[in-house]
Amino acid sequence: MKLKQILLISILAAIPLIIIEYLIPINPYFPKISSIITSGTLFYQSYNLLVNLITSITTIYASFFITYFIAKLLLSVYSKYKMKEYYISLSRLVASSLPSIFIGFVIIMWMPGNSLSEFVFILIIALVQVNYDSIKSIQSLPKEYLEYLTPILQNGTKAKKYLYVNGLISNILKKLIESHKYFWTMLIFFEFASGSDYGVGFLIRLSIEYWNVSMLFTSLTILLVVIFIGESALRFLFNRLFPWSNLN
Amino acid sequence: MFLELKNITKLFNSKSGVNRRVVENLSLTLDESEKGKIVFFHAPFGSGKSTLLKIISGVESSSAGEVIVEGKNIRNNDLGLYFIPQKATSFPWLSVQENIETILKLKNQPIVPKKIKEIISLCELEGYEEHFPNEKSLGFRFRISLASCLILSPKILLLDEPFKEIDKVTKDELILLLQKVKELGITIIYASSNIKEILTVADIVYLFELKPLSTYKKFSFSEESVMEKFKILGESLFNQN
Repeated sequence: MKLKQILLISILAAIPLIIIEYLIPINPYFPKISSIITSGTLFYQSYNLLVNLITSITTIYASFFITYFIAKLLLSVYSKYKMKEYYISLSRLVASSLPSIFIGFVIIMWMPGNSLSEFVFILIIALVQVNYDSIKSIQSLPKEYLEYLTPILQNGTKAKKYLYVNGLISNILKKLIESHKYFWTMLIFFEFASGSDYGVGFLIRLSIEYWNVSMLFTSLTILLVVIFIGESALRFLFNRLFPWSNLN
Repeated sequence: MFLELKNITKLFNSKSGVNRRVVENLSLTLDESEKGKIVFFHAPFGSGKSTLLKIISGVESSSAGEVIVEGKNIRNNDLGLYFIPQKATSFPWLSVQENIETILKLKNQPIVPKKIKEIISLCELEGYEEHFPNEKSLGFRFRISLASCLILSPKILLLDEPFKEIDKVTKDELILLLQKVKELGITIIYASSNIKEILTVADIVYLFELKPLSTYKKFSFSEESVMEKFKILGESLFNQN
């Protein structure tokens, strides 16, 4: 991004902020910047902002990390067994038709509201997606790779395992990173709905309970920044690890 | 016999219950003197050439018959028959060098840098060792697949129309490369529906009749020019198509 563009965007963003801060009287819709900063300080001092942030961040990225290894394991398992049509249909049905919040509500009912339950929730929805993406990737793998490697290895299963685990993992991770915002949304929903007293979802719930629009805007701004940094870091890492599979 | 196909038959069963016979009772031999030659399987489009190559390489099993190389059945034996399909097969997630090394690792064979260098040089991939195949031409990717097979010192290379979508200049370069490979004593079986494709360098031509692949005419060449080869093949080619 050129300096001129950054300058222009900054000016465009600054105009409404200045109007809200200095021209519009205090109202329940648009909080003043100074109130948002005050709320940030309040979150930090009275509501363990850092701990809440770390809890949510750990939940998301620990789930991603574990999902990566489970995806490799899944691909390895799928290389050994021929997938039945009903299993493929079921996986598709669960991944595309079952809303993740259903799973969330069930976990809220089944497990005590703690950080483990939200971790389990994010892990389950990540695995549902990864499972179906694995199946789709396997189905779309050009058969020529297998035809080439099978006579070399004299073993179709070994050829499949190598191709699936090494060739398809980037596709699956790409889809996972593209859904990064979705996982954050689901996590916030879970923290919000489970009545927990941790995580960014808790801060948002607190803001709504107190009907404090400054606190709400503060929570959402923090969330926006965390998602932006997280996604940029994931994309950077992905492009470093899989330079041949470009993620724009 | 160097290579022997004994009564090969391949049936495909469709879901509707109709059986499609692609290869029928095909027998074919290459004797010891035909080792290290370029063998051209020519048959009309869609006649089952790819299926035949896959059966010979062991990718697919035949419904009946057997493939024997130097007296051994290819089933459950690593006899050095490798198959390069029409589309690119080099692994895009690995560099040129890694593509070759990975094949050795997967085969539990030692990595000998000198040999890898020689193969890279033979396939004219020098200077590209760290390049990745994605976004590279089909010709480049074919060279990587070929190098990865050559590192295993194959007896027979089976090529399924790999030059079909490659431009004329690259194709000519790759044909010269195949000649170099032949000089290593490796037999190349090349299948195509385009008679012009590698006729210039073909030592043996099998003209298959219309499908299913069953009968054929065999022509052996030594020093003939392309025009002479065409003349010899002429009438049979006309009858075939």
